[in-house]
Amino acid sequence: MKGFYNPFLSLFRLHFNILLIFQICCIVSLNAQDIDAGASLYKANCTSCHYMGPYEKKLIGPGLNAEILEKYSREWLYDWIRNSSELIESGDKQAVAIYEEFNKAVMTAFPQFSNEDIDNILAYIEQGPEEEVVEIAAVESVEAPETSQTTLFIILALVLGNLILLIYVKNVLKTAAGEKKVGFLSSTLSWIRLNPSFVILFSVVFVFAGMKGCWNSLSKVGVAQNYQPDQPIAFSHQLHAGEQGIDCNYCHHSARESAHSGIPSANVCMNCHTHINEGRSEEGTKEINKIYAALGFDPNSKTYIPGYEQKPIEWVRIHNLPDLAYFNHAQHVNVAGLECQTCHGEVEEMEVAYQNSKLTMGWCINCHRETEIDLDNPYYHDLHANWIDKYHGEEITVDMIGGRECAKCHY
Amino acid sequence: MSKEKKYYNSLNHINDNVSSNNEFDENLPIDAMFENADTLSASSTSRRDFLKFLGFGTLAATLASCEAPVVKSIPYLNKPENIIPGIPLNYASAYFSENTFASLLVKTREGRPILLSSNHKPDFGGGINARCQASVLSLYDQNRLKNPLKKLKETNWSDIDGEILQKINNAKNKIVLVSSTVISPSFRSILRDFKKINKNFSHVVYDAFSKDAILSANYETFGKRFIPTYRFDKADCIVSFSADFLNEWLDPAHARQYTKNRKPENGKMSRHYHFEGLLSVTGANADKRVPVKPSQQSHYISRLHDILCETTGGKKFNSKKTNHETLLYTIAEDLLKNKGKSLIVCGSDNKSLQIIVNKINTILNNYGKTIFTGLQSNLFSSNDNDITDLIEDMKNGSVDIVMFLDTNPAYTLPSSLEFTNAIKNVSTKISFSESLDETAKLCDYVCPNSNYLESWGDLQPYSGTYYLQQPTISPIFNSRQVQESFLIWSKSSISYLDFLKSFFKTISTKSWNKVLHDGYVNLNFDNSEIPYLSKNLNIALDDLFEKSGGIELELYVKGSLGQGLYSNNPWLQELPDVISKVTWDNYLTISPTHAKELGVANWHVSNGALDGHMVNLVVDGKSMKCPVYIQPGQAHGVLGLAFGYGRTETGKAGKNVGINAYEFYQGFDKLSTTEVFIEVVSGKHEFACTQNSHTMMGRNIVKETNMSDYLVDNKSGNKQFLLHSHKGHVKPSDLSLWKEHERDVHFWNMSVDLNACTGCGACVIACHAENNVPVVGKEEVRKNRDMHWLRIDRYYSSDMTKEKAKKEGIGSIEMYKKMEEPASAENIEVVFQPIMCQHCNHAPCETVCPVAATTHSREGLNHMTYNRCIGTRYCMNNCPYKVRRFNWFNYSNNNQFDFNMNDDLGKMVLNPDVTVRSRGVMEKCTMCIQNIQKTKLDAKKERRKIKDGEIACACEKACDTGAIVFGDALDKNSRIVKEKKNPRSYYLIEELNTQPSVFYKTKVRNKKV
Repeated sequence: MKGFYNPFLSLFRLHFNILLIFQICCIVSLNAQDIDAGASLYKANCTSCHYMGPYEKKLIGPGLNAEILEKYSREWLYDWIRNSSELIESGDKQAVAIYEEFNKAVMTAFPQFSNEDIDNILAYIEQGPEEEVVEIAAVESVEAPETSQTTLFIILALVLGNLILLIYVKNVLKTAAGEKKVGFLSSTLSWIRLNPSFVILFSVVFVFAGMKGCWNSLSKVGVAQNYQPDQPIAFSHQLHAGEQGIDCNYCHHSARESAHSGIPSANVCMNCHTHINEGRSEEGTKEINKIYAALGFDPNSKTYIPGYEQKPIEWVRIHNLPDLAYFNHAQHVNVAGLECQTCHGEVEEMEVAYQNSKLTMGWCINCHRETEIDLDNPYYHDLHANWIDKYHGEEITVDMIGGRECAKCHY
Repeated sequence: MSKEKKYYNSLNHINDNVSSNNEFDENLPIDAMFENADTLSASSTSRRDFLKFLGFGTLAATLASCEAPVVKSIPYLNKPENIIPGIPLNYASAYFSENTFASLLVKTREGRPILLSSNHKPDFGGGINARCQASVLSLYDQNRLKNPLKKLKETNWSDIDGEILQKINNAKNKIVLVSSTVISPSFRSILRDFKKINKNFSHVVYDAFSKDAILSANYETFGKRFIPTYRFDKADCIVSFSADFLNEWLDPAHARQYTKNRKPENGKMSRHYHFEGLLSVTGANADKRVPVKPSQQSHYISRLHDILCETTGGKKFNSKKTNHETLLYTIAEDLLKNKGKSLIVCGSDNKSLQIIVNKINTILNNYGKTIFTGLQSNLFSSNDNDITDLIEDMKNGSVDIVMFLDTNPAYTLPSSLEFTNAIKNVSTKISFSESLDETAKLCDYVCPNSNYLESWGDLQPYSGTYYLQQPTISPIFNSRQVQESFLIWSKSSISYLDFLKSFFKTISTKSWNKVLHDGYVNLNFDNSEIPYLSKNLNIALDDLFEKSGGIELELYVKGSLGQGLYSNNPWLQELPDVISKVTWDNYLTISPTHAKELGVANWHVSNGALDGHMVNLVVDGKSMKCPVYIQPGQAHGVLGLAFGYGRTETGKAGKNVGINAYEFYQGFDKLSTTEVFIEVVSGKHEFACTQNSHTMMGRNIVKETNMSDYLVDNKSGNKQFLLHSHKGHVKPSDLSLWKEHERDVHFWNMSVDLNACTGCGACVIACHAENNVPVVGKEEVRKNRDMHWLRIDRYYSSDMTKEKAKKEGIGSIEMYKKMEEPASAENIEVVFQPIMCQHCNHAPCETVCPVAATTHSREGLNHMTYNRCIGTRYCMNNCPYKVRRFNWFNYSNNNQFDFNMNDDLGKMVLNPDVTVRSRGVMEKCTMCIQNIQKTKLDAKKERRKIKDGEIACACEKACDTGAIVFGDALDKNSRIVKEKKNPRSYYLIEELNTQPSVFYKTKVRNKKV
């Protein structure tokens, strides 16, 4: 069977191929648009009740994947999504079956969706979830001080080299001049004898530098900056506050009302984790299961196990103020309107939480010196006028109205 | 061939293996070091071992101290919706104990009650006293029973219920519940249901301090056993015959009424005459106090009756003349002038006397005006015969089961009644005591009742009032409230809470939640007055006039310990007695003249502490050794002894403290007028007294005036102190070297009205609770190391004055010596002055602190910074008011001070907002700065100004008479500004120009001139 070459046919084939590729490209690009729109609609409206996955993977409703497109007609899906109860009332067999299967829970109606919207969503479902790339937050090594230190070493080496060179040159010159060679030690000693004031100055500087060094190291005693203990549950602020954008006050709600910001109780976790029982990785799922173990929650049946002996979660406290210092979150968060990050740093970027600030008294006082009070607060209204006269319109900071007094924090 | 050569350095080495003897091969005996001391001392320790221990120990200690402790933080798993950690929750509840009722607001922090204050104050009761204030600490008493007991061994509820039910079913003879007065209508209903099932059940009411005399007298004169409500606020003339109505007589809330009508600003004040043998709180507050032997009081009452009858007509008793004839005529005149606006009260346990008192009140037309027979008090209901009959029954063996609730007869009944013998004839004894007290110890079963702060309940203390009690903490131990027990034993399946809710529906139509929130509801009741039966009174005069055998003994009740239920409460033990200022003790009080006659004395030892002689007190053949305390103002020939001490079965704080006065409480009469003897015995007693001076030594510390002078000049008694200067006579505050403080945000001031302060001490306990003030124990109080941030000074008047000394030509040494002597019993007057840190604006303490640990705030407070203090005590020495307290020791976690701060349970009462101070630092009143800061924050959060009265210091909240007012002196409309402008206001020791933020208001008495 010997083939033959047909230039026309090959031309046609080429043409066809190009066309095909072009068309595919078109379709793919068209589909891609659909899927993006579908994805955002899906995330906004569907995720709270549906998982992406096989039908059996139930949340509140069934899991959704390409199967549904086989199981149900597109028309039926339009009707169902826009108003499922109408469909059920009409006696549609498939609709009633689902209704019965899910304990007569009615799916939220989405009358606002156009056919196109639904198509987009279905396209997204068909494609399935994207492989989420778990971004590992790049741990930025703190290189800045090291760099400066290397420069220091280089400069030091250069200076030393120069010194040796100079001594060598001096010796060479001396030999050339025919001067008598003197030992290094005796020459140094004679130099010292000639310059006592320099020696005194040098020793004074040396002693003071030593004292300052001691002082600095002693003042770090008890300061637990960057304290980053292991926690019983590897909770990631980076995921919750950062990626998911959950407001700090959602979990630490008492920060606005009380002295304590409070570690959220497990039932706050369960507001979301009743439904979200899978982490981004296997480890993540394990951590979520720790909450269930503490509360006695069965993620499969989504019920609390009766008579379960609950085990409180023993978190390790990171910010430890001594008993003698009183700090009130509400004063700072609610009244002063400070951002949490002001003291706690970029918590939303912390994979493992740590103490960002020094929490020393100097650190507190410094902020009180710099922070203006909120004169719009009616608490200060009638005082305001006096202060304008008294301080000639100067900024009124916390310390000017007694924010540096001892018993504001020590009682 | 030849053996290897070997050298020995001694003969021993020939036998021993050298290498095995190397001491460095031995391991460090770490196991022994971690074992107990015995194991270690048993192990052979060589010198080198010692050095190893030393090295290891030093290293271990160094390493251990390097590491910061890991602090755990354990949140709720399911946080109750309304609990926010750090924010207190208040619950309305009610207190009824030792026949005292109070309507409460319970402050809880994270589920722990930590402070009590008054919730609802009706006109006639519901006030809070020191004992009630301290009861929150008794909730955290380690001495409470952890489980039900059977034969004093711990068991469980189901076993105990099964056995008791069987016993109840098998009981052929009587089943008796002995309890103090029950004012819970729902519990009474449960008991009625129980009686329906068990016909042989009966309920015997036994109050340790019986008010049977008043109840029976009212039965005679009104035909009904009841206690009326008294209105001291409506009375313009009050005559009291040893009725200590400001302290324990019927209701401590009388103090509030009393002071209401003693405000000189109103232009009138009640006049109060007081006849008594001992010096009571009420006597100390009286306008005219007459020391009279108790046996003589019946003469005075009948004489007063006769004098009144001289004017009004009516049958007289033909009483004899008394020593105070003119005074009685004056009183009679005053009373008749204030007909319908006067009040005669009598504290006697003699029924006939109470009948005469009722008669006098009828003559004066007081019923329906100052005494209400329609609105009755339910706080006392016991009949003395009931308990004596019961003891007879028990002896006869006609009682099968006896139960004890809120009562401790093995302690409170005199041994002559042979209660402990009688109880042996009862086959089943059940106690509901919270702790293993004297009676519970004799019982077969102890079913521990829950504390009132853990229980549901309802209380009807007065007609037409209904209060609900709600739990503020879940039961700490395996206790069960008694109502629950009775429901189970009635085979009812309903819980007490459900029972109470359904019972409530029969009482009121209001919503349960609303009433629970408010704490009370007023009900309709028949408030028509009961008519006085005008039939002839059968009073045998012989009965009336008590015989006297010379020395008389009168038992009295201290405001601190009361009946003795709270004897294990260290706050109450350390609360100084209102009059004597002695803590941790009871003692035999005796008048100075009597003491001189007997040759007994009190003296101060070198460290200033008080010691006293011991005597043997014999009453009706029963003798007891007591210490003697010389009490100025007491009538000659009377001895006083306080109840509540000498407990043998209680916790470590109260065990064997003092002597048991109930032994002398014969026939429920506080008086023993015959067969009382004392003999001086060898030995001395050590008192722990917080105030060792008697008088003001002629200084103007408590300013005082009389109403008549006040009406002429409202600055009378409060003359402005002036200094001579180059500018002429000026006020001390006009001469100053100091730069004034800035005052623009707030200026916190406190006013203390000396006319409203009765000296009761509730504020002192409230201060303890709010500010984590430690208890230091008797030995330390003796060394004047008490830690009270707020103390109440008591001063007696003296007969010696500077003018008198000048006139009589007495030298100054002699004069001052005389000045420190209190006046004679007839003339003595007593004043009280609460002293806390005065928050001087020119503070002497601030200038001497070398480390600036005590500084001034721009809000007018003197701050004390514990973490800065290095304990030089310069400030304490430079304080003219002596209000600073030094922590000589660590009072928490210290076995040497084994009080509530040394055990985990007792620490639950601590206020988490206030630091627990450590050794070596100074402390003092902060004006409850934690409350100030909290209220300021609340206002800022809600974006508003602070309202006047929104901040209340613990002492202010505790003061039932409203003597203390706190507020912002920059707020022109505040109460404190009005108080400051009051002509009665003055600064303490103004001549020092300390410019305090606390000021006092002159005491005004309403003496007849």
